[in-house]
Amino acid sequence: MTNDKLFQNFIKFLMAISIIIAAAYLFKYFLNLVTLSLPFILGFIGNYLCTPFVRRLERKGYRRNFAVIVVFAMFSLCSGLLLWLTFAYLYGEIAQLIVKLPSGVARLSGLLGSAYLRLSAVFPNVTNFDIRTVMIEQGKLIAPGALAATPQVALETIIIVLLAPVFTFFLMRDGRHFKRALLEPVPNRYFEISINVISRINEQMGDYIRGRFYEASIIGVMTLIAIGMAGFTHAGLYAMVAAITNVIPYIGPLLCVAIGSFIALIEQPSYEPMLVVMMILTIIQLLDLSVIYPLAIGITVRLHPLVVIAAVILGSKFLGIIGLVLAVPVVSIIKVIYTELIDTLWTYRRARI
Amino acid sequence: MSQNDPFWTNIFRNKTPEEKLLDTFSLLPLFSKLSKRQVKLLVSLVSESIYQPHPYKAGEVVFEQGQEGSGMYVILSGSIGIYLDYHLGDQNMVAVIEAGDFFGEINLLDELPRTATSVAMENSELIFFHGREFRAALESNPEIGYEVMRSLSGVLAGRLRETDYLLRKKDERLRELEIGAADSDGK
Repeated sequence: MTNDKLFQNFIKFLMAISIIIAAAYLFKYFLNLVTLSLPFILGFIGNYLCTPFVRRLERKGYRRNFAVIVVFAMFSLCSGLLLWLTFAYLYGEIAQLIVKLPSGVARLSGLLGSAYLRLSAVFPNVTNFDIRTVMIEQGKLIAPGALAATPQVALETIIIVLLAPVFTFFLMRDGRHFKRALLEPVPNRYFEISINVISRINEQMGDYIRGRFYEASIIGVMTLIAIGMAGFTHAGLYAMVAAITNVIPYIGPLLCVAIGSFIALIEQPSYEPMLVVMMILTIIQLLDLSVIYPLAIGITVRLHPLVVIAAVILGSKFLGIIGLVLAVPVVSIIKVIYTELIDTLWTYRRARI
Repeated sequence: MSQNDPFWTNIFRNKTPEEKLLDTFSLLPLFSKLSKRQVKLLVSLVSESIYQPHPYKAGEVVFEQGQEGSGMYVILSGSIGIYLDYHLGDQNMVAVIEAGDFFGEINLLDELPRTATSVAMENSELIFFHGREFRAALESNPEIGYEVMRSLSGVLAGRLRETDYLLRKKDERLRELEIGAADSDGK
């Protein structure tokens, strides 16, 4: 290879890296505009959930616009009803728990205090670190800010709830045009490989989102039944927590058990119910890990657990809670692009030899 | 003139992409055995798996031998030359495909490397059927899927027979030349 060619390749490489970094910053900036990015993300999720039903109607011979309107109407009705029922139920549950909150916090404080005393008897150096004091101080720091931000959060939530269905509808109707628009600037030389990449990403994202949705629903129902059968009154709340925290890989199950245990501590006057809840939630999470997750999501996103953990940590560092949820989809997109490009180049080179 | 007359339906609006596809599909030999209803259903099933690249200039390579293939091309206008070992020059051109016909059809069934190079002989417009998406769409309607695959198999079988015939002719010719060379050596 001549020096000119080497230099040209080096410039192209630098340009590619600059474009990737610029795109990453723009993406981060976009995600920081939560009011705009969250409806967009929710719109994508809604689109992926509804697309199989739209296709089913199209296969029966119905026109696409009609299929989209029908499926969107049904989806909006079901999700609106579900949200309203959930809100009404949660409002009652949380109101009851708030009444019991002071005693629950006192029980937690007692538990931490006795654990601290036992630990300091075995490990004298622990006396320098009192987790109860640390938690109280942190709570005092966070609480005023959280209270002040409540009106803004409420307003942003209303905007998100109103915008998300709009994004869902237009993505359902015009999603295929976005795919074609992405291909528009691609030169013919890279046409097939670009279609492969976009098609695989679309397929994986769709399977992953639908798989996650089914998995969260199954976990929610299992938790509802198990906690209800154990005699707890706020079984629905535990089910909600289990379903929502399930979305976050690896850390989600830990959060689920922690939050569930805290709710049990608030709800019940003694410590034993908390242990029962911890046991039930742990068994359900283990079932999820060994049976439900492999079945629901399994081979759609083949990522090594270490890669997932690293992605989740990086995601949370850069984008907080949104980063936790988006980490796995983003890494799987990068993996698809990388493997498609490498596969294609490798096959081509091997055939040329 | 009735309101269903193409003149009247098109005078007030352009054809939708689905209608244009329907017109294109109706002309393709691959779908000639399907009824109008089946073609219409096929369009609604597979329209998402069809893409249109930029027009190809004369001499532009569509795909190269050895490149991983992912679908089939249909020629809307122009013509495409099919070559083996293209870098060795024109003498390895094996076929010329004209408008209305298709090529690269083997990759509608798999994603293995392309068996030949295709080059635009003149300015050409093509549409591309993405194999994986096309197969997934056909799986959802076995009736249409069977007819399309039967038609495709028929075309492939015809091309295989033609290739066998050409190879036999070449073999016979080679044998004649060898016999001729042996005779002249013997003399």
